[in-house]
Amino acid sequence: MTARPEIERIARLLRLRPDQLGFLHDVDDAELMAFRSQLTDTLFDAHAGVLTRLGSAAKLLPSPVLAKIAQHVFGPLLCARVAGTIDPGKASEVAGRLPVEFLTDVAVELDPRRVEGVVGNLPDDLIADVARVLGGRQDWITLGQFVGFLGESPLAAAIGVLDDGQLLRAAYAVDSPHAIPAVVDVLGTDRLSEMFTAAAREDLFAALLRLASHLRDDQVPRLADAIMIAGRGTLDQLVAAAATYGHWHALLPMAAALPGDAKADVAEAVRELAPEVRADVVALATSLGVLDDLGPIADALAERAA
Amino acid sequence: MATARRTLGERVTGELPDGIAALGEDDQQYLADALGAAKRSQREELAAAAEDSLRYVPKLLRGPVRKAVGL
Repeated sequence: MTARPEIERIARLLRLRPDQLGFLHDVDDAELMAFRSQLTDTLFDAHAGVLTRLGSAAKLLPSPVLAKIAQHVFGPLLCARVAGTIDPGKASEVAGRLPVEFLTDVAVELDPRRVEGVVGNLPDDLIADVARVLGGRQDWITLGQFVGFLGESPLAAAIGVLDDGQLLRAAYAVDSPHAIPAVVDVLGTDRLSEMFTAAAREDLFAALLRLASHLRDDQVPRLADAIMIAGRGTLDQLVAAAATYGHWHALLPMAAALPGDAKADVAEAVRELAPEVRADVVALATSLGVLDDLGPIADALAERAA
Repeated sequence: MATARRTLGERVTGELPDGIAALGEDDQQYLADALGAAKRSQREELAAAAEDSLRYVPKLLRGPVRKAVGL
């Protein structure tokens, strides 16, 4: 699992390797994100005049010529810088004429905030093609940063070409956590259940819990159903992952929505936790308003938390 | 005559986030220099690309395109 997607994004902008930015490890994600935003704006605004003039010149040229120039002269980085200055309709036409591998290289360099109109104009199958290539390259950062900028239909198309492990890894790298409920909306309960199985198989519970921690209230029961379909064997691993990564705020609402016998299984796992951890979990469950719904889990927590 | 290197605070727009402002001077300068280098590379690449693009532009359109780009 990639430890810090934000550091990778900053390294990419500065044309450095992530290991050259080791000194950023103590900076929290929110501050890294704010800093990345500053860097992005600085780089895009540095040559705004030239970029705008190039965008104006693009109006004079037919799409096939622009596609040739994009591929043979500009390359992915400069295409990404110019893309936001070109009329979205024309930019989409050009994108449709580019090889998918090249278009994927451009996507890697894009700032989605500046090309929302272009992305919104792309056909679903093109989005799916790029998502497939990004998945093959294991580029979770780029996949993750586009999630918040895709409508329901292109999002479903992209999700449809990723396997469960790829989807979890991309979810872990999602740029805007508020976009996660939209991802869950397009996933059926069966697919969610398969993601639990994949999380157990590929040790991806950290990603799964991150996804679960940004759900809407009405989505929590669906996730609980998905756990039951995946098999109760995953429950122990889920509790262990919550303890390891401190994602109790994601696990507790799901646990409260489980059927009684599954809660008993979770209670067994919870009994193994250190007393001070139990006390913290009780306090969190109380603040989340789910303690009364935890049943035997709450009893197990209370046994040693008292 | 040597000129002073621009600091990170001078290179980016707005106030640095606390966690970045709290970095050591050397680390901040490293980021500032990397940003400066990335900007220089971008400027050179844009200039070269604008000129090279003309090879693909139909002759009749080269004048208007040159004018639009400011070449």
